[in-house]
Amino acid sequence: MNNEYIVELKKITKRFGGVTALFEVNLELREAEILALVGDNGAGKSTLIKILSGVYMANSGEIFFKGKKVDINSPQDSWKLGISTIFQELALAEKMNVIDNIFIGHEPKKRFLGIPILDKMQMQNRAKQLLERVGTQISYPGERVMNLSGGQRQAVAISRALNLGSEIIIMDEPTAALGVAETRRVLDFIKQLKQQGTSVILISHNLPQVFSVSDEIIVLRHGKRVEKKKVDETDENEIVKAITGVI
Amino acid sequence: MLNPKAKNIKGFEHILGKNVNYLFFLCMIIFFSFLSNRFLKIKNIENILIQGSIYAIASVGEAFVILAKGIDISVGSVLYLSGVTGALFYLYGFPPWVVVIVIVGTGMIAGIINGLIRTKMQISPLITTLATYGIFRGIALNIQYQTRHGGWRDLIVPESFRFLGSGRILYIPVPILMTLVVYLIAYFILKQTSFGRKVYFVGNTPENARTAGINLNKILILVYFICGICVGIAALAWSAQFMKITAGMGQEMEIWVIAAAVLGGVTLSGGEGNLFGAWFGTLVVVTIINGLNILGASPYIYGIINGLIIFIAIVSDTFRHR
Repeated sequence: MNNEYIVELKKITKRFGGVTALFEVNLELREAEILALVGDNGAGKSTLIKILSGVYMANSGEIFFKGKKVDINSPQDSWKLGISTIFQELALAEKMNVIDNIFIGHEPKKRFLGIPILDKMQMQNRAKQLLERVGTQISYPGERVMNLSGGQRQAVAISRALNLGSEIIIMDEPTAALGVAETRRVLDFIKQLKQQGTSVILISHNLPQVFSVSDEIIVLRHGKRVEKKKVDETDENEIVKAITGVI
Repeated sequence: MLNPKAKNIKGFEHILGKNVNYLFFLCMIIFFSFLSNRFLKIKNIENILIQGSIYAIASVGEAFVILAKGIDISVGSVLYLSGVTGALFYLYGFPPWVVVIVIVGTGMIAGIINGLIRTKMQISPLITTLATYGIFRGIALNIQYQTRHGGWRDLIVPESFRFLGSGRILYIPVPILMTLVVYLIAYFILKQTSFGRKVYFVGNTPENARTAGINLNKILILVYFICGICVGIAALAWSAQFMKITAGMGQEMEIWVIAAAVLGGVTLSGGEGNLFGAWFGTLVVVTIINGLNILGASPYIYGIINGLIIFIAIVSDTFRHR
């Protein structure tokens, strides 16, 4: 395995008014690695990934991408580096169709009288390919997102990340709203991403799921990193202890 | 479970509710054509389209703003300010082509100001444009009053504007052609470009748009900018049709323009609707005004009709989302 980190967060501190949400948290992610971020509610998991995805800015700390220090001041900065985030709320537009949601801001274009316009044919074909790759059954990509199931929505959000060819995909509780079969499909898909060389940061409350797909686990408690373990060197009990602080 | 008959009735009610705007339009046409045999004459239909061009062009801009979950209630004031500024330049001897640029440019600048206040100061669109509604009209009134040395006489516009107001190209009145061009360009932007998709996305959920990597402020400034340009062009159409700038120009126009956009299917909550719907809405509004004019209705009835149109617009908007 390549030991060089693709992303490294160093001593990230984030405050909201008087509340310290994160205090000097470090995170290291290797290429083609699945890193799980676990912790109780309010431990700072979502805050940490929102800093990496440009939604929040840290009060202090540094972000390194492939060894180079970078500034991520907006979601666009993060997308440009090749980091895609699938938020728990999925960031979809309900009244728009599947195709528009997948390609928003990154539509394939062609030229008409020298003006770049949407290549709708390519959008349609590519949307079908992406949805197939994610392994979902959306028969009609022109369907509005408001009419889709939880799993199908998740598939649209993942397809959007895949369309960008991102090297890193962050997933915040991707299976929280899904049924059994859909959860299985998403977990298989995460493993498939790793095989294709994509790194994944997975936030989850579900430890059996975390153990079934991850390589490493980082535990946050009260905004601090309290543990980092390789999956094959630990067990659920140890991680639960780290999450709760009970010895 | 509903029995099939009840289901059919419910389905019928739904279709009726969704299409209440079209039904309303049809009723209006039947109503006015019964009361006046002049109403359905080709000449009068052409009149409706010409009179409607000012509202139609302005409602394109308003549609962009509403689609992005905003609202612009300053359009009437921007229209007046654009007209007055253009006429002022004409008064000081600038050629007609400069006057055209000034009229459209003033609308554009006013739009950018709305957009900047909305985004940089994070003020709600209603409050932002309510403030500029007063400010822009106030500035325009002052300019008109001062340039006439404290009098309320009308300002004039270049004689060559007459062609834009009442000329024809290939038998088609120029105002109708102007409207068509504005609609086609705006339709193209909205349906065929990445920017258009972003406008809809922002209108759906502004918070999600940001996390999806869209520069929210840029899109919001741009929709107000487009609205400003459209109102500028509407001001040009107005000046050309009336050949003068009167002090009350554009008063209450915002209400008609918003009602037209909503009647045509642009949802007030944003993210849904299309431009040709807005044109349809404008035609409804102008048809009613025209019908009332033909019937010689009392000026006091217009306020009631205005309120009724807004009511119908909101009802059809609500039904569409059930």
